[in-house]
Parts: sequence; structure tokens; C-alpha cells
Amino acid sequence: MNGTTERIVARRAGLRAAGRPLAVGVLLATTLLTSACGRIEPWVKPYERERLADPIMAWDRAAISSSYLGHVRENREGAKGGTGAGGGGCGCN
Amino acid sequence: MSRAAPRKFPAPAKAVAPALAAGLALLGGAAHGAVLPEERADAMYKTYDGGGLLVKGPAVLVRKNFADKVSVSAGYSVDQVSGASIDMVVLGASELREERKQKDLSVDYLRGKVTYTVGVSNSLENDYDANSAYVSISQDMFGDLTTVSLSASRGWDKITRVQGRERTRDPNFERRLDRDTWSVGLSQVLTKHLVANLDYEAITEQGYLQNPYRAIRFLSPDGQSFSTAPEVYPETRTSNAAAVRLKYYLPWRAAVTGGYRYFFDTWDIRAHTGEFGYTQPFFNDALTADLQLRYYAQSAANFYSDLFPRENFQNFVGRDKELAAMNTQSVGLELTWDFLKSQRWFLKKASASVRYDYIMYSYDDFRDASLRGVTPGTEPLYEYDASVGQVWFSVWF
Repeated sequence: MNGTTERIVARRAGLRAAGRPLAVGVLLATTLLTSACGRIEPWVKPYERERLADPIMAWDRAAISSSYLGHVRENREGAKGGTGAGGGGCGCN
Repeated sequence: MSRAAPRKFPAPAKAVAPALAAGLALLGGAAHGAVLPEERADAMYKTYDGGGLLVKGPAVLVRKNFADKVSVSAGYSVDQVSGASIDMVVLGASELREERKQKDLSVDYLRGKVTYTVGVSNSLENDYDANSAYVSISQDMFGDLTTVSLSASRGWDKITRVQGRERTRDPNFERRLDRDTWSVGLSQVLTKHLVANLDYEAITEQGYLQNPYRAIRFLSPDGQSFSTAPEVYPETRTSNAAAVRLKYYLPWRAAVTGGYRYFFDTWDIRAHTGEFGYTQPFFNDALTADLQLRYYAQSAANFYSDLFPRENFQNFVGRDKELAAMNTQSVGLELTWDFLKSQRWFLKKASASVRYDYIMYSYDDFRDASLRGVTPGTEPLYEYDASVGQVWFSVWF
């Protein structure tokens, strides 16, 4: 194989490796999204969420600080990602 | 024989900055589900001192809402980098003195229980220009007990190289790196006291993933010295990270956090991260203390070696200590003083915060090659400590 072919093969292999768990994740999320109108009764009522709404329960109270710390870590460690693109709400509104 | 003659070494890992910014913007934006984030402004000064490098500079972050539907966030940060890392010392490079500027902008649009977010980011240095854009959708469901988020990000980096004491740009060197990031997140209220967060993120990168200044070392034929040669990295990398975090409200007014992240990529790096946090208000909520402990460990990339047996030993070769087997232990303490807790003028509240993190880096197969008169491969394993300091003021309006 020449260099170009190697790169193409490596990229496809990489995308396949990423694609499997990604597909599962998207499928899971889609299932949750499309079933959002089901008749699941909230087991924690809105009036029971006082403690969850307390500022000390926030995942990230100062983005300006966590942003810099994340930058420091990712610059010096091989791993990255998974640091909080998910929801952070407590349903307290 | 030394083929590489680097004059400088770039600021640590620039490529991750826009992706990180995107992730954090999501955290502060779409992650809040069906409520717009609070309007606030933060101004910070930060320092990092460790491994021969000193980084310092200011940062600001402002968020403003419009018509209870739209939230705009803008951030600006400067890193002034000076000193010489161990890699630069080994290669005889001159001390670094450069600046990185980062700009971030994101817009959230709230419609019912759905938040749509778009954002852009730029990080600029004299030899690295990184741009990224992202979109995200987040929805509250199941009686607002659950928040699901999906996001996609694309990054475009341009890598150049500077040379000489004047640090002029090498006109014959310009490389590209493209990055796609996909993530899904789930936030779940489990009980009246417990919330959970699940995140999965996949990143594919294509292009110039190495550092134009860094070099590998290989054993000379006599076995008593080493020579250096440029690194050669694969041009693709796919990374996966899955994380779970739990936060629990204790019987007294305090919160405890636990988290775990597993990471793996196509370079055979496997990493585990564990985190523990404790938050405790004092003095009638005037002061809030945060304690954070973190442990991180990773295996080495499959083309990494501290000392290759000979030149041209294999197709891909690297000696970046970020790719070595290593572990990190850190402890952080944060204090926040809420000195204004009721409306005054146009401010709703204001606080001052200080944070200090002590980080210990230990390498399992990266040796201190700066030592002279030692047989290559028998030098002591490298380790260093770093101090990160942050001071910032926050106002809510």
C-alpha cells in the first residue's frame, strides 16, 4: 500500500471504530427523545426539588475557572472529552 | 546524529483548546435545558507554574439574555507562556516566550423545553491557528427529571512553524488538522437529593497531529549516547470518552460529587479518571468552600517510546510525554466570598473567588533525558509538580 491508501484505510477504520458506540448513543438518545411524551410520572415532584435547586448542587458554578482547569488538564494528558456536554439541569424551573 | 534543530517549542497542546471551549460552552449553555443560564460576568487572572513553564494571563466571560428566549455568551482569554519544558531542554531549544489568545462566542435559543445552541471559537498563536464551530440541542423531558443533549462540533486547525531568534514563520511549512466531535449527554434526577450525569463523546481527527518541533531519541550504535530525529505520527486518530458523575445533597447543607471517565482511542491509549468533590457553605452562606481530588492514569500510545533502539525503527514514532504511560494526582481548594447578596444598583449579587490546585505528574516510561553522563535508558523517570492559581470576580445582573 502506498501512503495515501494507508491513510484512507486508517481513517475508515477509525471512523468505523468511532461509529459503533456513537450509533448506539444516537439510537439511545433518539429513543429517549421520541418517547418523551410517555406517561412516566415524575417520581420527584417539582416541590420536592428544593435541595436540587440549591446553588451548591450546580455541576459547574464558575465556567471561567473550570474552562481553564480543563485546558490545563487536556494539554498535559492524552485523554480528552466526556467532560460535560450532557445536561446539567435539575428540572427546578 | 541530530537531524532536528528546534529553536523553540510551542505552547502545550493547542489543538484541544477550541474543542474544550465548545464543550464548556455547551456546559454553560444548552446543558441547562429549559432554563436560560443566569446573566453574569466574570473576570479572572490565572497562573500555571510547573515543568519549567510559566503561563499567566487574564480571562473574561460575559453572558447576557434577551427576551427570555436568547442567551449570548462571549469569552476572551490570554495565555502568556514563558520558560522551557523538559523537551526543550533536551533538544537545546531556546526559552519560549509567546502568547495565545482565545475568543469564544455562543448563542442559546430557548423554545419550550428545548434549547438550541450554536457557537464558534478561535485560538490564535504565532504558529497555530485553531477554529471550531458547534451546534447542540438539549431537551427536558419526563417531568423535567431528564435532560438529553446532542451536539456536534467541527474544528479546523492550521499549523505553521517559526524559526530563528526572530521567530519568523517558515514559508515552506503549513499543515492542516480537521476535527469532528459528536457527543450525547443525559442528566437525570434520581432522588430528591441525587442527580446523575452521563456523557459520551467521540472525536475523529485527520491531518497533522504531531508537533513540528518535538523529536524522538534513539540509541546510538555504541549504546552510550542517543541521537534525535523528528517525530512521525499517524494522520488519523479517533477517540472515545464515556463519563458518569453523581452529585448528592448531604443531610446537612453540603454537596458531594463523584465521577469516573473511561477513555480509549485508536492509538491504544486507555485512560481512567476518578474525581471527588465536596462543597460546604460557611458563615451563613457568605463563604463557600470547594475541595476537589482527582486521579488520572493512562497507558502509552502504541508508537510511543522513550528511547527507540535505532533510527527508522518503525513507521510511526513519537516521544511526547502526553502519549507515555503516566498518572496525575491533584488536589484543589476553592473559596468563594459572596460579598453582595442582595440587589444594589444594577447588580443582583457579586462574589470574589480564589482557587489553588496542586498537580503531581508521574511518568512510567518517560525518562529525564536532560541528565548528562548517564547511560540512555537508565535515567530516572521524569516527574514534576505544578501549581495552578486562579482569582476571579463575578457579578450577576
